[in-house]
Amino acid sequence: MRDPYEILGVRRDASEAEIKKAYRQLAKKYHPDLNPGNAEAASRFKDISAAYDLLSDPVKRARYDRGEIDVTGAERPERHFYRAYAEGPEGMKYGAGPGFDPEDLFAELFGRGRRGRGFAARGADVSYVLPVDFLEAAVGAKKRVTMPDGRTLEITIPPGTEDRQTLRLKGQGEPGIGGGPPGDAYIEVHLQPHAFFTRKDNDVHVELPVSLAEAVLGGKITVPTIDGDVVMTVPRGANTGTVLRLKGRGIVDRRSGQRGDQYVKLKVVLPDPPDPELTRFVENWSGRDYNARGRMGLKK
Amino acid sequence: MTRFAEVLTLCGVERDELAAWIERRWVLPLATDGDYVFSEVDIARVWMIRELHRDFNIDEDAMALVLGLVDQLYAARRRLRQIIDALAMLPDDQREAVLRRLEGISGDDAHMPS
Repeated sequence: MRDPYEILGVRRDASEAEIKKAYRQLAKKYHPDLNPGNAEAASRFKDISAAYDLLSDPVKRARYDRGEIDVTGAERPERHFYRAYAEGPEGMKYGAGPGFDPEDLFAELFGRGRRGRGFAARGADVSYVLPVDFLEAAVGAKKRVTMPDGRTLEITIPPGTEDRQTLRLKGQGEPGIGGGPPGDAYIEVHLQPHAFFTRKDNDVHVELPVSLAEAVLGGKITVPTIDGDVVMTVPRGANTGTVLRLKGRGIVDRRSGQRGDQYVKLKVVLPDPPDPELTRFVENWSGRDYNARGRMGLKK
Repeated sequence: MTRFAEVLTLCGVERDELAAWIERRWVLPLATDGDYVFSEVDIARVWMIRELHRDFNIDEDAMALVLGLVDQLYAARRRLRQIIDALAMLPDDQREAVLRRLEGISGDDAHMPS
C-alpha cells in the first residue's frame, strides 16, 4: 500500500481536522455501496479506510512518522542507531570531514613519546557490500564502482565467485597517516539470483520446458548455459523431471580450477492455447486411461 | 545490502531528499550499475539525518554543521577507543600508573567511558 498521507491527499503536517475532512470526502466518493460493481472503488475505499485508521490515531500516526511501523501497522524490522556503527570500522568512511584532524592529537602523543621519530600509521580498512549478477560471478566480470570519495575503481570479479565472498582491494582503503601505507578495501559480494539458473556448489541447475513432441519423440534442442547456448539431445521418451547432464558446463571451482556440470531438468509443456487437433487425438487415444498418480498409491 | 528505492520505503524519505543528501555527501553509498548500494551504517545515517531534519527542524545549512560535529565526535571516540584498547594490553602496573596520572589530572572526569 502507498503512503497514507498520499492516499488521503494531505500534507505530512496536516491537522487532525484536515485528515478527518479529507477522509470523509474520499470515503463518500469511493464508498463501495455508492459504487456498486466498481472494483477499483472498493480497493480505493479499503486503502482510504486503512490510511485514516492509521493517521486518525495520534499514537499510531507518530509511530508511523518515526518509521517504527509500516503502512499496515506492522512493526518494522528493528532499527539500528547510527552510534551502533559509527565507532566501528563501518563508521570509518564518515571520517571527521574537512577542518578536523584527530590525527594531530595522536601525532602529538607519539611526538612526546618518542622524540624526533614522527608518527606514521597505516590507513584504516574499509568495507563495502557489492551486488553482483549471477552470470558475472559465474564466468567472472569487471565491475566499475564509484567509491563514496568519488574515485572510480574497476573491480575484478573472478570466475566462480560465491555469495558473501569477500574480495580484498589492496591499498584502496583510507589513506595512511604521516606517510604510512593506505588501508585495504574489503568488498563483500552479494549474488543476485538469475531468472532461470541456480547454483549448487560448482554445478548449475536449470529447469527447461520441452514440447510434447520433443519429449515423446526426442530430438535436438537449444539449451542456455552460463557461457552461451549449446545444443543438447533429448532422448526419445523423455518426461517431466528427466534430468540431463552437460558435463563441464558448470562453474569453475575457484580453488581447484575444475569445472562443474550443468544439470537440465526437463518440464513437458503442452501447447498454450490448447491445440484442437491434439485434443481430438487424445480423445481417441487408447492410452488415455493411464494412471499418472499410480506410484503415489492413488486411484485416478 | 539495500538499494536506493528500498531505502526510500524503509526510512520513509522522499526520492529528491535522499538524492540531495547523497549529492551533499551526507550519506556515502557505493554507486554501481546506475544504482546506489547502501550498507547498514549508511541506512542508520539516513535515519539519523531524517530525524534531525523532521523532528528537530534542522535545515540544510545547519545540517552540514551538525553532521560535521557528529563526525568529529565519532572520529575522536574511535581514536579514544584505540587508546583504551592499547592501555588494556599494557602490563597491570603500567596501566595502573597511567590511570593514576589521569585521576591526578582531572579527578572524576578521567573515568574511562563505558
